[in-house]
Amino acid sequence: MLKFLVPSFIKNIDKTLVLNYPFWYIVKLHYILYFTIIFWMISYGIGCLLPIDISSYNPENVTNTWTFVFAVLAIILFCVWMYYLTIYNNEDRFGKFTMWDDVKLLAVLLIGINLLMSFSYPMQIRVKSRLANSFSDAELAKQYNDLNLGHKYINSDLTNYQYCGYNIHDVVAPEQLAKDTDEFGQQRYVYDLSKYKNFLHFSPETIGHYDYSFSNFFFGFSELSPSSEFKHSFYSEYKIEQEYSLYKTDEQKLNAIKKYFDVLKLYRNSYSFIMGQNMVSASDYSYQPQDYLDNYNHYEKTCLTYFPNAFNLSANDKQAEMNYLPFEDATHNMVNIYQAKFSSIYLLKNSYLMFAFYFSFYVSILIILFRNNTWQHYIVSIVSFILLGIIIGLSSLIIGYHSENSFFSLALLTWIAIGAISIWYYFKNDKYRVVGAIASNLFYFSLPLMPLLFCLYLHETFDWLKCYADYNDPVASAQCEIIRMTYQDVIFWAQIGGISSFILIVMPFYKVFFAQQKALPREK
Amino acid sequence: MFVSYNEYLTEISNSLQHADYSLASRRMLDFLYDYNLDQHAEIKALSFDIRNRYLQQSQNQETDANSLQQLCEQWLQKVNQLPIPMDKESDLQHLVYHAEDLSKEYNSGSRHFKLHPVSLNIKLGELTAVVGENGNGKTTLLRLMAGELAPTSGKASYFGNKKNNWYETKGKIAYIPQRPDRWYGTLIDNLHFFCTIKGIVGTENEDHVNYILHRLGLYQFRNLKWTEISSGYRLRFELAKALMMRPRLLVLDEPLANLDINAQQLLLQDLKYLSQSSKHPMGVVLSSQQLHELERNCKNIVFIKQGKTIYSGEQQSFAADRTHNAFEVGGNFSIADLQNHLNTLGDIKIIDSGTVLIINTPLSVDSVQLLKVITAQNLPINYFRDISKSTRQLFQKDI
Repeated sequence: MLKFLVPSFIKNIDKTLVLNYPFWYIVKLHYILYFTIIFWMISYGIGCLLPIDISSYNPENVTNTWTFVFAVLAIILFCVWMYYLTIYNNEDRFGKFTMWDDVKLLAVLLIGINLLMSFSYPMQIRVKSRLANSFSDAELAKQYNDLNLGHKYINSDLTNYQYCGYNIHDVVAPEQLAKDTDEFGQQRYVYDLSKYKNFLHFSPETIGHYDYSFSNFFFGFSELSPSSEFKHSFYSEYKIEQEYSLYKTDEQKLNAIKKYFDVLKLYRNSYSFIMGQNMVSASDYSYQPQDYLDNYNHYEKTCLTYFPNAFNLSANDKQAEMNYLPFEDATHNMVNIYQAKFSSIYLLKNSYLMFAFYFSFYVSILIILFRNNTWQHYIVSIVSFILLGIIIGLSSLIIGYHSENSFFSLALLTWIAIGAISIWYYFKNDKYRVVGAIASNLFYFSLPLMPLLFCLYLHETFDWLKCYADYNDPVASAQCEIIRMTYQDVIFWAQIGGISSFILIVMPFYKVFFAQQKALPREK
Repeated sequence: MFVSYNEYLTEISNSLQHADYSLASRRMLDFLYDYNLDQHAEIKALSFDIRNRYLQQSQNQETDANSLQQLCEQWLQKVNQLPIPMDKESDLQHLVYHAEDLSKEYNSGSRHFKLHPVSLNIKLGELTAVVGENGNGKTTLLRLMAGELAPTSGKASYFGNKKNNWYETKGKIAYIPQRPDRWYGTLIDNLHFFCTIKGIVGTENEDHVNYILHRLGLYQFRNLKWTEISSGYRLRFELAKALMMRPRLLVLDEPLANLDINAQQLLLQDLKYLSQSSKHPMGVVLSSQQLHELERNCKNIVFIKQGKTIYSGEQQSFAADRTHNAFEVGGNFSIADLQNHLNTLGDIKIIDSGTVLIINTPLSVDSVQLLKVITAQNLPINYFRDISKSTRQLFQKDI
């Protein structure tokens, strides 16, 4: 296996295994472990070296290419591994085996496949960790606080002002502003005017942030649990208002504005693409903090005097304003850091672990079947599986009425028929029969999920553990909720029971059967 | 058939007297193996050394007979110092395969083939040859015997068991097809692997692989790959692999096909010796077209013609009730010349088989008489063979 890359100690292990432990020699787990460690080190190194851009929307943007490269390398290694698993086959040579060998092989395959899948994990974890450590928890909280405190003094919607024909330095007559209408004759919507009456508070958990990254899309959003340090340092809405009320002098206000822009500058990289349309770019090149302060001082009075009834922002308006604000991008990137700090990594999420288990479990079962069959009959088995699905689907459509129920019923009948052939062949055992071999493969492959499918069948066809209740009837609703929860429990245990009984009961017996099958005389 | 401790030593001494180091070195290893002398490290090392030196020298064609002789004498001296063990009771003559009216029918493309019912027994320590013309069912019979094919009718039992557990049974049968599948990885790794999966592990594994490699003269090729060796050596490695599992029944399909005449004779001799091992005897069945070599080495012959078994039994018993003798003659003369000169011997029938003439004579005429007449007439003869008791006769079109 890629011998030029293999050190002598691995070859020595090989030598010991080939002389003493044929199973471990065949499965070559030591090679997988060795290459995994090598790739983990490389992956970790890359994770350390990759440039971390805190203005990036997501760490996955940084790691995606390398994750793909590691995936390709893992697939190549997997193919080489499968090649060795195929050429060294104990039962092909009628060697000694135990009925637990396939269970052992399943365990090795589960470990091996997950290790191959894990090549890029250290890189992802390292990048996430580096992003998380861009700032301490207290620093990040302070950045949020600075934004919240400074925001009060910023005319965020400069474009809107400009749209109205005003300039930030213009002194707009309040009467004119009050009469100003848009093209539909409505009073112009000037967000900032509400600032003096309402207060916006930005928090990493309430801000509208949608992360469309691959991992979140498939494995769900993370639970966030900020550290006590962050919680302690982060100002609540009430605290911000308190602080704000203490800023009486221009110097204090100017200081708040400066701090506000200091935070924005940290995340400025992402602003390049909206240069010219954004307050920050304008502030950098056209307006100074003093301009904002002047503007603030001017309009504060105007607003409070002439717009006493300026609308109070509703939740939607708040959202709209937030999306319209100059520092929305900054907070977006800050949320990435916040998530990197406090969200659980997707690799540890239940949904990902479930995916990893089922994926590696079924790939392993397919490999075990391949090792126990001729490749021709293996292919025929897979094609038969697909064809049977199509035939059952079409048949249930032809039957028409309640086609879902017919599909389940037909599938169950087919499975029983296949199972009967397989069991008959299991005990007949005099010569190799192609039909028997294929039926056994299909039966074997479907067994782990049969308890689950059987529960679904009973649920869908016979309304087992199904309950409908009028929402106005709280007692009936509560009873239904109990039944629904029972059904969820049953589904969960059907999966656990199906897979564990498959591993502990079916696999050992079928190991003996598959080995015997290999030895059976053939027709040709 | 079974070789006792003393017989082994006598055989080795005789080989050395005739400077037949090939045979002597092989029999030393057989002796070592059969009598579990592995624990005598010195004798073991010496045996391997003698075998290696012989192989190296024979390859370089520079045999240093003196040094080999000295080593061999040293070996004999050391072995003679050992206490003579009790000879074990032999397993030889035990039935390993019994078939009763076994037949097979199948269609191969548009061709329908039928192997007519055949009955036969294979015993431990015996070589059985399956002979016949091409496409007459030899491979089919061998595959039936090896449990590769299911019979259409008839019964077969292995190793005295009435009901077969096929996995266990096949674990004791080694089948070497005419075109073996390729091996992957180094040859030595494969051999160790085949040994280990049969439960031969650790030092025993290393010893067994070493013994077989030295015994078959393959030691120097052990680190090569399948694609790096010739077809003749592939067969020998297949045989080595088969021997790794210590089979009770060894089935070889046309093993002599890709071997030169020396290698053919060596292989047959090896098969004969290995089958008669007192430690792990086995029944050997092989098919081949090399009739004369087979008849010299095999105890039993099965002759198949167009799917029918014409003869199945001991080679010695073949044609016991014959009505005439038969001889193959070759030389620079015509049938007419020969016929004229042999008329004095009685009812003579001569057939031109293509390369030689086959002379059928009355039973009263033996090879000595026939040769006397031919040489008396100064006929330029360059080939002569008595085939009266050979299945070669069955290949004749008109008999």
